[in-house]
Amino acid sequence: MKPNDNNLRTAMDRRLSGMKVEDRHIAAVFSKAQGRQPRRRAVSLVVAFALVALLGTALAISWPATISWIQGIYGDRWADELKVGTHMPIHQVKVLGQVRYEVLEAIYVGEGQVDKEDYSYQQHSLYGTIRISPAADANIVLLPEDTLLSEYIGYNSHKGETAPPGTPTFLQKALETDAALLIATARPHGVLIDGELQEGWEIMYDYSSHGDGSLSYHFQVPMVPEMPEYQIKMSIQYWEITRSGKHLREGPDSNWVQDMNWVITVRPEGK
Amino acid sequence: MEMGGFWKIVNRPEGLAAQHAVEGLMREHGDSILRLCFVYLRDYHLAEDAMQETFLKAYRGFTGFRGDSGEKTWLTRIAINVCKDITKSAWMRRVNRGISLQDIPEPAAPPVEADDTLITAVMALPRKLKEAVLLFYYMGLPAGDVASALKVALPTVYKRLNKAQDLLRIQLEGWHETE
Repeated sequence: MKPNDNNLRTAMDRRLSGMKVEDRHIAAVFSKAQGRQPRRRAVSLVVAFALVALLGTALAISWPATISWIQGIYGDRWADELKVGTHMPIHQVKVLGQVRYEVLEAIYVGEGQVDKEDYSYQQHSLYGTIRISPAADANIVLLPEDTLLSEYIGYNSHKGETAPPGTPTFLQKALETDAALLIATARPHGVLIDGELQEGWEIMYDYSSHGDGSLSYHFQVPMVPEMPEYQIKMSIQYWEITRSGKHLREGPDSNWVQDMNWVITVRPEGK
Repeated sequence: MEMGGFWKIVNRPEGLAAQHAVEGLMREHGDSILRLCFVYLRDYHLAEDAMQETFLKAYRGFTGFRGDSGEKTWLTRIAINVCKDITKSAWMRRVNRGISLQDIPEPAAPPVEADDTLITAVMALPRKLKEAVLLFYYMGLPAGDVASALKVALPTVYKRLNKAQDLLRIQLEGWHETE
């Protein structure tokens, strides 16, 4: 029996007929959707003006990028673990050629506080965010990996985001500004423990394109014991992609730039 | 044909109307999205989470949806990306996900052995082949939409489908081919 559309669809719909969307599923979706809105609705006009006046403070009290990332993908329960974790702002910068890499923060989650049994996968992990942007005077348009030139700046299709009309694509922006198109990536190799790179577990990572032309890479390094400080071995790189979509990463035209040995030491504040 | 649903989305209702529209999408496409997620993730509870996350993203991105693709293609694209994100998690890599149709809601009629054989064979396919098979044969998307959803070239879709057919032919050896 080949999986043509008749028999695969028949088989799945018949065998999996007990899997049906129920009212509880629908309620859960909109409960979650509406659960996020009060944060905006609660901001009255007076408070809104106060926040604008105290813009720096307002930014400081927003959740770190790493927590927002986890919350966006996995919801409140996992994000709550990071909120009570050890937050370590870093803001360590490395300029590699035309690209600026800034490790914004790391957050360590140990035993877990919220739900130890069901959510073991986010425990004993180091999370973080790297912001990638053009170096000073660099005329470039940055793309994250696995991104088409025809996708829209600031809207991440792999997350189901759709761009409003008029949003420029990466290619359009490059043509408009006569800029080079660079694919840039940043993620950890892992954490050094006693000088040795810890191995054995997959590192989870994700990326986003932002409307201001920067990128974020977020990561989770699992199975990290709690330590007084953490040494993260970072891998950062970029290469050009031509306007016709050719990656200049190998061969005589390659302009691949990389640093696979950037080690950052982070420690909890006050220590 | 999705014409009715398509015109609702082109009108781009907002607020409560958007909620009603997305609820309508859940009732129309939710079962197939849920079953797609189950075969992809091989776990019913994860599939429920993935299905709900798909429609949550659809609701949030609703006013941005331009109707360039049909609603089913749009929802399928979101669902595949949600499933991919889940499979990237370290937890997924630690837990041994066996292939089983045991702990799932009972079907309306007694199970047919041939169904189990085919479904478990598809579930066991390598991820990239499984994606192509599910989108093309189960969701019924045109090959071009499959390519767009998976962000690969069209010939790549056909290669993956052919490769999947070859693997399944080996695994399902002895079964009669039906057209």
